[in-house]
Amino acid sequence: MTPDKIKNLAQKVKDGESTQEEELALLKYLNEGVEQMREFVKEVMTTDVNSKTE
Amino acid sequence: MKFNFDKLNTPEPEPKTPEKVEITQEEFDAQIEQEANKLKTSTQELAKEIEKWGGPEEFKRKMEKVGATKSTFSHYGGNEVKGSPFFYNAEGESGGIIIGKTLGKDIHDDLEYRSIPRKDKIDFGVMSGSFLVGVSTALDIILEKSSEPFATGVVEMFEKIQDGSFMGGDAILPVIVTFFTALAGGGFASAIHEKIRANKVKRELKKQELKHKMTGAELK
Repeated sequence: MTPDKIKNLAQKVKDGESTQEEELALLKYLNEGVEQMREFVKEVMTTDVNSKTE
Repeated sequence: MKFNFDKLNTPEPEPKTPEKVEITQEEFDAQIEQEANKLKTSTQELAKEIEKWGGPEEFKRKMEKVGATKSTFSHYGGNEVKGSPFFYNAEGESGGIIIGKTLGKDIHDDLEYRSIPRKDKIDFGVMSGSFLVGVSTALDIILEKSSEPFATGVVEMFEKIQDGSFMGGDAILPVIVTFFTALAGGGFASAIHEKIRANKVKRELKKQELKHKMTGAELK
């Protein structure tokens, strides 16, 4: 889903104009995003940055 | 650490139109509750994981150590932003956040980056820039800019990247670190859940109103 689509979706949820299907889609999107972030954080924080500095 | 470019080269799938499956309202409500609770749980887990590995300061330290000054990234389908650790496709395709550092060498295209021996570069994982923008945009809108400035910072940053006015990789890191650590903990997930619940009540009231109008009954 593109950021613009998400933006429109989020605006509808905020304005109370969303359908329940749209709300579910937004939740699923956010869940997927947070999972990606967890993976990213894990990789960052378990990387040894000390042994390869200039 | 293996840097999976295949993941980057796979375009984000377009959202599928929900199938018209006959499910009861209760089943739908249950799905929403399930996803909302999953969101709360996973953001709480994110908070615990950050703490487990040293906390926000450690996250910031590692991001700063690798991410800012010597990183150059190529694009795989979108606009290139030289000198910035992030790139984002203005047409809306998935960009990627790649943080890597080469030892004293600026890299200007993907192939060149891949050709650097692994011992000479550190690279972190890959995360879709599109997701990050999407999540922060959604939060920015739903939670109101005044109450959740971290989301606004990310959105503004990516808007600048998109229009080419963003300068300097160093400025990205504090925003990203703040975003991640502020996101963790579940507060925003609860706020969204409450908003969705309120919307449901609003929809039900509208239905009742319509029903009464159609039958000619007055709403008392």
